[in-house]
Amino acid sequence: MAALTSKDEPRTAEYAGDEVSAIVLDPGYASTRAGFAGEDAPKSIVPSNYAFYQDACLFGDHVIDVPRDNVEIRNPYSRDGIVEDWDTAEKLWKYSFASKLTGIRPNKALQEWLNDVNAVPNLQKAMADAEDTERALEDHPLFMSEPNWNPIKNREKAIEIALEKWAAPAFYISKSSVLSAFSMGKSTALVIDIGASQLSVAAVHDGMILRKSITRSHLGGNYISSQIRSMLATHDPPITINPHYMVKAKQPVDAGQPANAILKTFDQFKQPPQTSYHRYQEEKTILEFKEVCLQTWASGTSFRGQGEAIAREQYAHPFEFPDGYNQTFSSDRFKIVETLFDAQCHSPSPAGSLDAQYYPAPEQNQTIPGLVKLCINQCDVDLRPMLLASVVITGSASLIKGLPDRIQGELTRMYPSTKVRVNAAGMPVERKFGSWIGGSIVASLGTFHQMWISKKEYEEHGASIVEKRCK
Amino acid sequence: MASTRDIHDIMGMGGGPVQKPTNKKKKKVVEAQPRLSGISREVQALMGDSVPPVQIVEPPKYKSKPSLANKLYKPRHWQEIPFKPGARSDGLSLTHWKRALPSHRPLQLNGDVEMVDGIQPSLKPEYQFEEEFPMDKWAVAVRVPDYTDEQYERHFKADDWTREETDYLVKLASEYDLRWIVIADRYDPQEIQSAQIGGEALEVAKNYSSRTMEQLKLRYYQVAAQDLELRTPKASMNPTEFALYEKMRSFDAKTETLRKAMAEKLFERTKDEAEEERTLLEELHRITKNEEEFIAMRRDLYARLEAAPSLRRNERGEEQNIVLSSAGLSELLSRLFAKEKHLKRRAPAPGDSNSTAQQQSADGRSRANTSLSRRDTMDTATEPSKKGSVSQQIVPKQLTQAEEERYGVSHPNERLTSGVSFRHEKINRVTTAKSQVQTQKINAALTELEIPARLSMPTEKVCKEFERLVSQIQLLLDARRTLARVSEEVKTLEEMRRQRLGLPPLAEQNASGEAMDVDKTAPAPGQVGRNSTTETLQSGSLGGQTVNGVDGGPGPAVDEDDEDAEGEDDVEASNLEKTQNDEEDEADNTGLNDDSMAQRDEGDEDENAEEEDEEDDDDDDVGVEDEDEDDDEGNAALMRGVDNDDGEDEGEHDVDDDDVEDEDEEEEAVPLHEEGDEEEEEEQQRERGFARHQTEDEATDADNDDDTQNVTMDDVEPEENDPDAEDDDEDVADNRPTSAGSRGHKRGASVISDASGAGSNRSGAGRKRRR
Ligand SMILES: Nc1ncnc2c1ncn2[C@@H]1O[C@H](COP(=O)(O)OP(=O)(O)O)[C@@H](O)[C@H]1O
Ligand SMILES: [Mg+2]
Repeated sequence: MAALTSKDEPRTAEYAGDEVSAIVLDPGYASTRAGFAGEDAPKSIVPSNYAFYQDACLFGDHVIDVPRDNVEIRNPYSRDGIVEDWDTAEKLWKYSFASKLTGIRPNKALQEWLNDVNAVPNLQKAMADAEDTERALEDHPLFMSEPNWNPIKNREKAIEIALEKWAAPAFYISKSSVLSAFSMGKSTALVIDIGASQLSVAAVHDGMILRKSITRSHLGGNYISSQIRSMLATHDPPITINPHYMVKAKQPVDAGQPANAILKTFDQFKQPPQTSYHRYQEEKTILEFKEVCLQTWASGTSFRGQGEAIAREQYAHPFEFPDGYNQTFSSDRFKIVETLFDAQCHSPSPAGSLDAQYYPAPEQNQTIPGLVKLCINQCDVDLRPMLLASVVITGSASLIKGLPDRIQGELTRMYPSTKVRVNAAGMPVERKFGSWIGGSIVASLGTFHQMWISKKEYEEHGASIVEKRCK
Repeated sequence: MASTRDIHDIMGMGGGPVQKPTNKKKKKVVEAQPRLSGISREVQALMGDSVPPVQIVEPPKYKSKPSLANKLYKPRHWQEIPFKPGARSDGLSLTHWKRALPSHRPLQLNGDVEMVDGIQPSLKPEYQFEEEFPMDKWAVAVRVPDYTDEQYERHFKADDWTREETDYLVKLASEYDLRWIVIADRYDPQEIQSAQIGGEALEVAKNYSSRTMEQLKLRYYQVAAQDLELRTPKASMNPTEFALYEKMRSFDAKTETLRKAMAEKLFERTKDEAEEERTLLEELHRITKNEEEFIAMRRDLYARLEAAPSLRRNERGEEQNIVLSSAGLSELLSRLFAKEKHLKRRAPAPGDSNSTAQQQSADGRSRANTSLSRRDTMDTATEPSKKGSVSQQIVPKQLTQAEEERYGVSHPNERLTSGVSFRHEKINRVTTAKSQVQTQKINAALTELEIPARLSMPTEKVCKEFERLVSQIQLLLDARRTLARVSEEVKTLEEMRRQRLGLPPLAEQNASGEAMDVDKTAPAPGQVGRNSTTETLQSGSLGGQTVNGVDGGPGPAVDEDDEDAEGEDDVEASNLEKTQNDEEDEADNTGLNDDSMAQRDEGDEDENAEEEDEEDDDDDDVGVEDEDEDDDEGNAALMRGVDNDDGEDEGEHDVDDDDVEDEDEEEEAVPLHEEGDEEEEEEQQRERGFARHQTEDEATDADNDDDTQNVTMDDVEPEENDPDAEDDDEDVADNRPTSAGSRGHKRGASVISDASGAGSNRSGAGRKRRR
């Protein structure tokens, strides 16, 4: 351990990364991102939803979109964003990097040794290798992200899979909020992550998450989707989404007129695709609606009452559904987002539906300002101004128009005594893959090598080492 | 080339001179061609020979592609090589791509491209790579204290921390590199328990309490400091170590907690408060930016303020031209007023005392009014502009009681002076502007109380308290004096009784038993009999002189009331009495009532007048009353008019007040001229003064809100005050401890009598009226 002196001029290697071709894996409820450390964006983005068809799991965007006989769409994560179904999660993760990055390793036993007996080096070893065709990461250390509230058991399970099953030489796992902060070049930050399943707020200090400050609620992208659904259901007349897969042909119609479209029938199947499939396809339309229509009411005037009326008159926006039905939406497109700030804007889902069960009306302290307040109150007084001076907004659902500005205004109003500065990456890619990018930066640093949990260490200390090393 | 020449030869055109033009022509064509490169051949063909005069297309400037065949470069070699990262003990081997260092071996033949990837194994060079970067130099860890069981028992024990907790804390400290915020976040009492259970004994699982960051820090620093001391004895620590040691030792968890609580409050400020702070900070920024300028300006201002009085003294002739401050300006104005009035007053016959008095009083009031109104206009004129400049953008805000207190906003009842004044100046006036002797007394009292005469922190509260204290001191002095006088009276009466009863006198006395004689001789026994011990002092000091007057006081007071006697001595006595009264009133006015502009101005005016008198008096004290009587009177009257002063006879007052040194000689002189012809005038004065007093008292009451106790007392009991107002200095002197019976004290005591002399003045006038 050499002492540090300021006289030593750092060499380029210290600034630049030292890439050891590590794989960075950022699993999320909506999608699983994987790529090589040191790159700008993940090369492989796979939906976390998978098709369960004839007792097999199908992964990948286009594969799962195909309507099949009795196909079901599943998700290996719980609504907390934590892995529930480990078998599938393992397959999904492996698919995410093996399909595009590393490739499935060839089974030497089949390809080489079968033809040439002399090539078999050691029968014992050959047998083992032949069995183990899954050593997908033999040459690549694996760097993973995890939700802030990931239980210890899940981390240990993750290291077990990576080092034992995939034979990765080294492993590390880090909280996604920390990585998001790194992606914005901050080591101390208040990270607001609006993902699919969860809205989470956490304080990061010196590259470490403050456990007591971790707060979250269900007001994520899925909640927004449920709000859109209930908005469409309560619309006059009610709007039903006919996703693209159902539409055979359509004629343009005037705004507000019933759709003039021919829908497909799925008679060829013994059983039509399940509702989960239909829902998944609806979700695509909803995502489009989110991208096109949703907007945040700028702070200044309060939305409820006054703003709602203004929005109704001035801010109408058209949207065309896959079947050709089109309609303008005005105050609703603001109201849905407003729920993230004002719990009273919640519009309840139809009673008895799954949405009503999964996405109940939020409390005020589950909204963004509420969570920030909870989080800040858990932090040391000295730290608070620093946190508020670097608020990082990340997660795909934060891409809603005007959201960072609104958060800035909201926090400035809440904390007039300190400077509030909201940092949100301008590029959608950086916002969507914030935690992946952070992982890419960290894993490609030369100084990070000492942090890896090597296979040897894992064998020595067991899975509990992940708790000691990945703090 | 040769062909053209051939043609020329053939055609017989040969010869040197002919050759040249052809050459030129040729050259031209050759020159034009590269210029036109870049234009496609077809276009060039269209143009034919007519070469455009201007270059149409820029010839390309790039160089031609390097040819691989030239073998001028060699691709650098990259290779994926395994390495063992430093700072790891587990032998983890990772691979990364490295570029080979430029080879030092000479290049191979210029022949074919050298294949570096192993096609020609025989030629495969041995690549050299840069050494692995020593990343391990970044793997630093903090040193945390370590101790054995025995050491812990001996040195590190603490009452409120168990060994397990301490161990856990130290572990966390090293794990999180002393990032206290993280340590406090991760400190989990639950984990201590589990560690213990995992250990040897499953004892009664203790419930460890959670700790605040300050508690954690405090404990860690205790342990770390102890550890440091054990490692390196205090004496042999190097400076940095010692500084660290000291820092850790002096960590104050309580203060830190308090600070955090305050910081929290600061953090939770409302928008209003934050705004306010912001504006204040801006203001501060502005002020600090202009600080230099301000300092220079203030210094300048001070210089001017201080220069003004000295200039006035030195260059009397030019004083009116040198007006540097607002005070100076108003002073000048009132002095001009005084001059004017003085000239006017001269005109009527001096004998017509009644009319003069009335006129004077009228003048006085009108002047008071004018001065008032002048001040008012000044205030109204200055205030808005002031407001505008100070708080242009700040909207006036209704302040609550608490806020007013916080910002020190006051709504003073007394009138404010225009312009800026310092509080300590005001306070100085409280203590100094009385007669000098009184000042000394007050100062003596203050010194006794160990209070500096000049307050170091003259906040409003302190000033108020100080004023109160001074008035209390004055009250005390009065009380002491009264006591002395009463006991003196008792003595005198006893003496009288003795005389009446024909008992042998205690002291030398006149034979006659008449009251008038007693009255007349009253001073004598006082001088000779009572004060046999202090005789010398009396005769040689101001005290003596004053005593004379005062001694005469009780005499006539008693006598007149009883027998209504008259006599020269009486006159003399009352004259002196009056002198003191004047002095005192003057002092009161200048010293206590000058919070208001008008009064301060007038006070200045008085001073001026006094100065003038003073100069006159310097040569001849006796002559003052005779010669300058009219002038002084006039001035004084005018001033009193302005002052709403009920005092009289400036001349005498001046002598007493300002020429304390002179008084020593005067003591002898005064009795001499007392019998003089100014007796008549004295009476006139008295009467005039009384008339004025009567009329102007109301004005005084109306205007002077903050008259001190003395004046108020006088106002309330103009006649009955007589005995109270009289004084006996000798007794005061006697009452003092002998050690204090110095000349200074004497003088001080004599001046005490001044404090309440005003009453006697009035009573004197009253007496005259009765007569
Ligand atoms: N442009 C967009 N505007 C609003 N919401 C979006 C947008 N793009 C994606 N989303 C929503 O963001 C959620 C996914 O966010 P993401 O951060 O990728 O989640 P996770 O990290 O949990 O996988 C989805 O619910 C999706 O509907
Ligand atoms: Mg996420």
